[in-house]
Amino acid sequence: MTFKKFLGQMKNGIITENPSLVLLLGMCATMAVSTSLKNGLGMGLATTAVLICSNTVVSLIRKLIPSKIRIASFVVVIAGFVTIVEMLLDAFIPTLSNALGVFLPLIVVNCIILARAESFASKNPPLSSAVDGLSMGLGFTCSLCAMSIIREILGNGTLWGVRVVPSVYEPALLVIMPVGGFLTLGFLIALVQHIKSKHSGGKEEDEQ
Amino acid sequence: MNDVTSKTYILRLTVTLFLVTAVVALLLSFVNAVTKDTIAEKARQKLSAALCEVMPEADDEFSDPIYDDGSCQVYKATSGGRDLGWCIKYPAFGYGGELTLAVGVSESLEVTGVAIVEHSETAGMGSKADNPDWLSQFVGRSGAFTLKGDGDHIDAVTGATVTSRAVTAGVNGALELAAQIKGGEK
Amino acid sequence: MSITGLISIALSAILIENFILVKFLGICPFLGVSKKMDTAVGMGLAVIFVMGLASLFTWLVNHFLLVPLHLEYMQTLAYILVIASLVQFVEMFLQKSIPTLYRALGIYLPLITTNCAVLGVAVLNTTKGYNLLESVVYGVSGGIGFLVAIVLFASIRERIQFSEHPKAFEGFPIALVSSALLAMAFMGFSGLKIW
Repeated sequence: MTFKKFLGQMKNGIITENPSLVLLLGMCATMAVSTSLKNGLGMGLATTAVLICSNTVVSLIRKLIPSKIRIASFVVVIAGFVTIVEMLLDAFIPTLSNALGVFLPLIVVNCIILARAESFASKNPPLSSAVDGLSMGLGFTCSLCAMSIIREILGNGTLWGVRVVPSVYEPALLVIMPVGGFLTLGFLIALVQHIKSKHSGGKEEDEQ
Repeated sequence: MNDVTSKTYILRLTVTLFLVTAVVALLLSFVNAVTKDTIAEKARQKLSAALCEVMPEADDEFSDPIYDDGSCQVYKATSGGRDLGWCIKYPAFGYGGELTLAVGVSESLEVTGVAIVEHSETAGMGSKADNPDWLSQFVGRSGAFTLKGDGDHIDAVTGATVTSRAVTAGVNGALELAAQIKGGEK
Repeated sequence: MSITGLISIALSAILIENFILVKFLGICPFLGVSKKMDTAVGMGLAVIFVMGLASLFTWLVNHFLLVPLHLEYMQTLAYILVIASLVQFVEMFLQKSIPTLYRALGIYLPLITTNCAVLGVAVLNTTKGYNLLESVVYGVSGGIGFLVAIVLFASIRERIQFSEHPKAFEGFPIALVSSALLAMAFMGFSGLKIW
């Protein structure tokens, strides 16, 4: 794999085909855990780790698995990696695994992971599948962070737990509540669509 | 679609899926064996730190609970052989599921401190209850607590009534448990 | 467990902690199949069915397999396998014995394997420590909550099509903004006090 191809794949995952803002995959996690930057970043990186591992393994075993039980086998592989990430987080960063709660095991059913396994890793060699996992994961992380930054500042007046807004501003709790999740994601995607229709090539969508 | 129902084909499917699952299960049990002790140790450290926090004068040895029913645990708090009271790990049910509280109760059934060991409340809302200033409202008082809106005593955290109510109920439960233990009922 | 306890579990799953609008579980099918009323109803019914069955079977697996063997750490793996095979089985069963129901629900069933509300309800049942009856009640009423939300939302979306909105909001964004309004309405239930 050349460096240029690597860059191309990275740009594809992070910008042109950003999973949550352009492909509209994995919305549950995007909205649920983006209440603070710490959670958003943690969830993004955990998902990235699972994506890289599952994409690599799926690509390695893609020729051995009969197509009828393809999905079932992929799901088993993904569930395995999710559980490993869960255990590692429990052991080394328990506060994070606590904050993500039920959404940690739910990485299994995050559509991004199965979608990439099915549409990319099952058709491509291991190395480029791993890179695809990395770029899609980072794209997911970027949009999660964008959501979290907006919601944490507006809804809590803090960023990474540190107060950044003068105390005159009374934080709008609503933005951190479920309502704010729907609203923020709606406006972000609208922004992306707006930029896309202007440039019609669509670049640098999720720069905050 | 393609009607491949021959026995060998089905067998092959079953064996492949079984192998995949077995390999994954094996890997999981390996990682579990490696991380299990660290996880248990981390949880123990966290609990013992919280128990020390709610009974600052006590010697920091909380190893054998004198009462344990799975969800609540009561530890005897002593200082140089003198009984101080009890440190209690008590569950409460908040907005995002279960919270674990550590409550210190003196011999005279007064609260010496409250700490939240673990919670999964919404960041920025329910999590605001995990704040020493708010939790210190309970310290030095006794009896059944109620929130201001519901009666008296405790100011609820703005925007986190459910969590405040859960913590208050948990502290009340811990006090009751301490009273029962003092009375020799448990 | 008293009957009021079960009612309070059901009410909180349907209204106060609605799976979609408060817990963010099952958003993909919620946005994906809510364009038309009849598909929304079909999906909602299929989800109730599968969530109830999944709660039942994952509870059995957890209590008779995972806990006795000390394999709690395999929970995610076991649950997703149970759900996947359950969905497959339900699909085959319906196709053979109740073809009318199959024609109505069939196309939604495969989608349900990756509906996070189903795995979510199984995991939540375990963390909340519900017994068999409570788990099934929680599963079924979680599904009912899903149906309520998706039906309300589908009727809103059918109207959105005929309303004017900024071009950038075409499609998903306007749907998300309207679900935000729906979620706001459901926030009113959070003050509901249950026994």
